[in-house]
Amino acid sequence: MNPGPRVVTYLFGNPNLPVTDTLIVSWLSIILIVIFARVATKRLTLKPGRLQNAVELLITSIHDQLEAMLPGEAMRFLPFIGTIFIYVGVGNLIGTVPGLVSPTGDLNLTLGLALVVFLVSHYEGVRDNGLWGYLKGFGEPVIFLLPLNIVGELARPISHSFRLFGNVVGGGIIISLIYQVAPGLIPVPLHAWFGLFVGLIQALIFGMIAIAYISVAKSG
Amino acid sequence: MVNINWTIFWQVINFLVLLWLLKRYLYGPITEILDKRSQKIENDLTEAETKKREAEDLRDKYEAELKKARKEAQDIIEEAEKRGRRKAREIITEAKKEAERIKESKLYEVNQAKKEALKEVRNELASLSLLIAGKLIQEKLDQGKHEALINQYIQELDQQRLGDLK
Repeated sequence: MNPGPRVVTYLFGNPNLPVTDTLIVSWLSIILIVIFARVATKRLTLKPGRLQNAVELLITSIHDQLEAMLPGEAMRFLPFIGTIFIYVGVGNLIGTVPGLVSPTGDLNLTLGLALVVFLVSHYEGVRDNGLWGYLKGFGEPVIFLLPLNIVGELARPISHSFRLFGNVVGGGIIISLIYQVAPGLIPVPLHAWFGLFVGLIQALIFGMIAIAYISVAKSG
Repeated sequence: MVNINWTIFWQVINFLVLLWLLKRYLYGPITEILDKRSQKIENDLTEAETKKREAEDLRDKYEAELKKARKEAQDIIEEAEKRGRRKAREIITEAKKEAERIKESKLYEVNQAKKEALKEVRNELASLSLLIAGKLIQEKLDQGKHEALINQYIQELDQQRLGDLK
């Protein structure tokens, strides 16, 4: 039992460029997502079929959530937040396929996404409030809270990424322990619980927190 | 378990590539079709509104025309009734006049007949009286004297009782 990414090979034989199993599975999920998107949007009609309806429901749900938290800018952030949600969701769910690991159980993925969200939220904060206006916000309500605010700000991508990472890895550890202790069908509902339910919930939480960070940064 | 290495950049690049691909193949087409649909719904609604208004206009027009036609029919009926009543009145008046005229002429005829009859009766009475008088007094009198006497008597009678028949 060894949770976490395993190095499979090295790119160009360079020991600084490892290729892990999680990286390969994340490529696989990307390919699957893109194929699915292509199939789903190949023949879009004004009277949608089942698949189109489902995809539209997904997109409009994300859009409505965005519209509630970032009024008037839902269309601008829809691709970004939608991709985070879909990518993390598929990354969580694909771990339930036997022989595949969850790419979200790799801190490199979660931290990478959290850093992208971190950069985007600060970019949006500066964009909306001006550089000085945004920086001034860190000195409020009183200036001596500035270090605390900065630490809090830097903690965000860490908590953001470790929450997802911890949930997925923790779930995986519990599952493998139960597989070792209790044989047969007992682990199956637990595996479904951690793989499907927790996976989707965590994807939702990851996306919601990304929206919240951007929303907070925009308000200064 | 927790080791951060260069794959973090791969993961970021993965994410950005996926973002770009999904923007192109998922969000773009979906938002486009959603916009198109809402556009179509809006158009349909506007069109329906227009059609409804047109239909209402048409209905109002037809109703007004119907009302007009009914009123015209009513007018025609009233006119016909009026004319009928007038005609009836005329006929009645005509009939009354005719009746009056017939009555007049019949009365005239009757009067005429009465006059004739009286004249005849008078002549008859004269000769009868002469006969009776001749028999009664048994006196041979001149025929001419007798007639003068009788005529005088009758004259007197006329003046006293039959004067209005003259």
